[in-house]
Amino acid sequence: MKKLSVLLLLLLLMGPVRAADPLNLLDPERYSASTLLQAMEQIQSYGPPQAIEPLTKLLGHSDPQVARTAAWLLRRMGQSATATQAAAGVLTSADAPEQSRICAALALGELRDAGGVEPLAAALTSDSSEGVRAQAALSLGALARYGLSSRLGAASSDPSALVRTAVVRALGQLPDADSNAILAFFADEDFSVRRQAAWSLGQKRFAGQPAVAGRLSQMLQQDANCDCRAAAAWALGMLADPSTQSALEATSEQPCRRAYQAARWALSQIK
Amino acid sequence: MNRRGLIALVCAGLAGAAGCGENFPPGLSEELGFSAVVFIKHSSAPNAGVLATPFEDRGSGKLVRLSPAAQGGTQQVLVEAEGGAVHDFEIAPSGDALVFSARLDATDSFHIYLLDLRAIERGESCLAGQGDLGPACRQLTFGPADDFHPFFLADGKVAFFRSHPLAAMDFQGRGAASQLWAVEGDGSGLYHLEAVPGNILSAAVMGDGRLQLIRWTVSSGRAVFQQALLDPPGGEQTQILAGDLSPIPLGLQRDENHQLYAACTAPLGTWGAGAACRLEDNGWQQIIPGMISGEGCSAQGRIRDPYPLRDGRLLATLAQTGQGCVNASDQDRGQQPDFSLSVLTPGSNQVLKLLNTQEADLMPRPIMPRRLLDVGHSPPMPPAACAEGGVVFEGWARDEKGARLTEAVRVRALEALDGSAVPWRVELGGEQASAICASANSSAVPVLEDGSFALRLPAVRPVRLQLLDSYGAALATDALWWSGPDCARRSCSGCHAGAVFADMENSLAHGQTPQVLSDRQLQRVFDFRRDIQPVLDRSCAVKGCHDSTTAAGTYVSLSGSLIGLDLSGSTEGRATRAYNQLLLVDVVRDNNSGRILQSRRPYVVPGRARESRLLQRLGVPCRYDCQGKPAWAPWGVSRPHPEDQPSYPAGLTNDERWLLVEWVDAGAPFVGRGSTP
Repeated sequence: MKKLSVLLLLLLLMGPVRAADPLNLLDPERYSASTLLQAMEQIQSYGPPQAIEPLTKLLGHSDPQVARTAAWLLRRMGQSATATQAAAGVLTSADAPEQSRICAALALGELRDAGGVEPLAAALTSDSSEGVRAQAALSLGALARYGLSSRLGAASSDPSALVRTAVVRALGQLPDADSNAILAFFADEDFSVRRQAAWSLGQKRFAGQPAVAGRLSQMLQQDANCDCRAAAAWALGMLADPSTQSALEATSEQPCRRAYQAARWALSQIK
Repeated sequence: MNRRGLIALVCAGLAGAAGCGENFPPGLSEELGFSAVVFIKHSSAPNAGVLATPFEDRGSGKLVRLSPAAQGGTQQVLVEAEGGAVHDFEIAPSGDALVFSARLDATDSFHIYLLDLRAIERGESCLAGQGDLGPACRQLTFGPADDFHPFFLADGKVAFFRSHPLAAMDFQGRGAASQLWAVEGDGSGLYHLEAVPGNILSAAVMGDGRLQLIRWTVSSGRAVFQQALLDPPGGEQTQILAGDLSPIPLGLQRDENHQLYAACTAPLGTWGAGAACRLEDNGWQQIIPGMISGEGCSAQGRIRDPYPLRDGRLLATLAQTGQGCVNASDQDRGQQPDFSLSVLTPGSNQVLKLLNTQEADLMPRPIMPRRLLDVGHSPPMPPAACAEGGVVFEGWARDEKGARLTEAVRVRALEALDGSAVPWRVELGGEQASAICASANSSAVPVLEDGSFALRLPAVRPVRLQLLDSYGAALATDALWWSGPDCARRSCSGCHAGAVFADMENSLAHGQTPQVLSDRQLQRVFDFRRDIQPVLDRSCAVKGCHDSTTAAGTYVSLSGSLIGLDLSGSTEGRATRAYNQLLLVDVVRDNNSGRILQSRRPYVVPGRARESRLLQRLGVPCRYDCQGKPAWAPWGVSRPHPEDQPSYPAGLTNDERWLLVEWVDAGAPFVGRGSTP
């Protein structure tokens, strides 16, 4: 009887312990995204090697937050290279669903490993899904490595505006970003691409380049889309180039109120 | 059985347990001080929890007003961006405007906008099509950053959470950190309010102007959810109140008695939805149960966005599913929970349904004036001392470390008009400009021999106290706002150490009748064009001196160039040339990152006349208790401005010099009401 009591006591004690072990919760078949995220947050504090395998399987999870957090955790555990291979496998798999490929591309950016460049560049130009191509571009930007401009530039004529927007955003994140490569998107037919191009140029490192200030001033005054004008005004404020002051002061509430308000802010930055 | 029938059946079965709801009684909202409610409507919300993640895209959402706030009230769409989304909002303390976060198309970033509800009443619109705004709205933030959770600060600025794609990552090395920023109500003056490694999740303005924050950050090498207290003017005084919260209070709201409410949730599990909580002396306590976390199912439902009403009830969104059961992750179970606007009663099962549309109606907020600043927890005055009403402030002239400020000879009150009177704008100063010159002592009371002081002010008028030297310049300005109800007595030690009750019993000030500063004396608004520019025009912006042609000056900027000073009154932007020049901020930036490496205010340091070169060069004559003191302020330069001596025909008068001192110490505003450039 005494042994039975001890056994029962042990079972009672072990039950909650087992349930609380976050390693047991890394099961996408049984647990929701929120539970997986909670488990990974707990695991990051001690990083057990047993977590590597289940975490690697999560790199192609359909929830972006799960895939991204798994990648981040594997990177912290020093597993970027092997995890990159696994995520690249999902990204290039013909059988993987579109959402899983998007998440694998996201994970490759989060892993920050040089091995992610080739599969991402390949997906950017050849994947059939615009969502995958756009995420591949964004992840190339997240890698923030030198020499990727040409890889991103290969998709500058992508038929999808979503992809072109991602490309020009990623170009602005590269350490060797070339303003001319970004300025080329000012001629894009889609306003969201042109707006993102202006945003990408709104960085101090592009200050002092007359071509950049000139083209932004031109966009402020002439772009057909009101939001693009506002984005140009904001970027001029970030550059704080006194030579653009007159263009900003000439902006009026008509025909675009947003551009006028952004121009007021930009002037306060210059002065 | 259709869905409504199923709900009705479940409600019958759960009566008394989950409280499926009674109708909201007509007229109740008026009793509680509001007539309309604004909320965010989502046509589909697969997972209520995840929707509230501060840095998560919540899909489409539109801003809707329910008026009157009753069942059957009219739902008017205030903002709906095709392909875009409204993320969250806060109603201004005045009740006639609101700030909201939205993106106007699917690829836009989330920006902060100001919506004028009075313009909506006039039939004007917020959005004008073609990507532009209508006259009812103003855009406050721009660029690729995502800006969320706007709220009004006590000084009229709008604070918000910013997540910038090119900004620093959070302490975990992933994604962009969500940090606290602020901007003026007119979109100018964008600045970092606080930058800690991590993500800010929730914030509320307390009655003394400080902020309560909930943030996810690192402590002792460990990720924790932390509660902190922040002094917004500088952000330099952050006090950690709780180091490791669980569950996490999100969506902080404050009631009229300064108690904090929130939705208590589990980390990552049910963001923003859970139980209704209140901050008690022993920490956050559930006051209305709800499902906080975990897998499984609860009949209690989940509560989002609780907002405290005057009678102690909560206006909130209540999530329940057709089975009368709510899961932490409804999406996984294929459930579409109802999100009803409801009034809930702590300690009771009563649920009054205000709106039940089978859609996700989130973040209900009543339109009603409220006070951002109102501090009143000190014991009331004894009846004999209360005949005149008002609030007595008493304290010691000490610095923030408790050391006696022997130079302090006067105390001045700077008032912040609360939102119910003037829209969210700090109004500083003592009395009319003309009266300042004629009656210099009327807005400042003496500091007595032992360093104590006492003054009586109208009730419920938040003020900051400023200790002045003999030249009328501020030695120190209290970081906190103070106020109280009629017959309250506020005492402080040094006035810079928070709500510390000082021993005033044996002070000289305690035994005397406090000097009264009247309501009229506090109603002072500085207007640069009206009060300051004429002084500059007469004495400074004259030919051959600081006119636009000559712009005499010897200031050498941080980059090494000689800069002249033009004090002419020509319009420049929304201010005058003189104002822009005096408030110049000289900066040196890193060429690559744009980060400010060095900055200096060469002429005027707002709030600090003693440190402002303008007044150091001009010189300031003694104003109070001058016996035995230097005739001119010793904090001035040894070589005062050569052309501005009393013998010079156009030289400044003493009154004009004191006016300039007071204007600078009041923060050097352009126009008090809402438009400092």
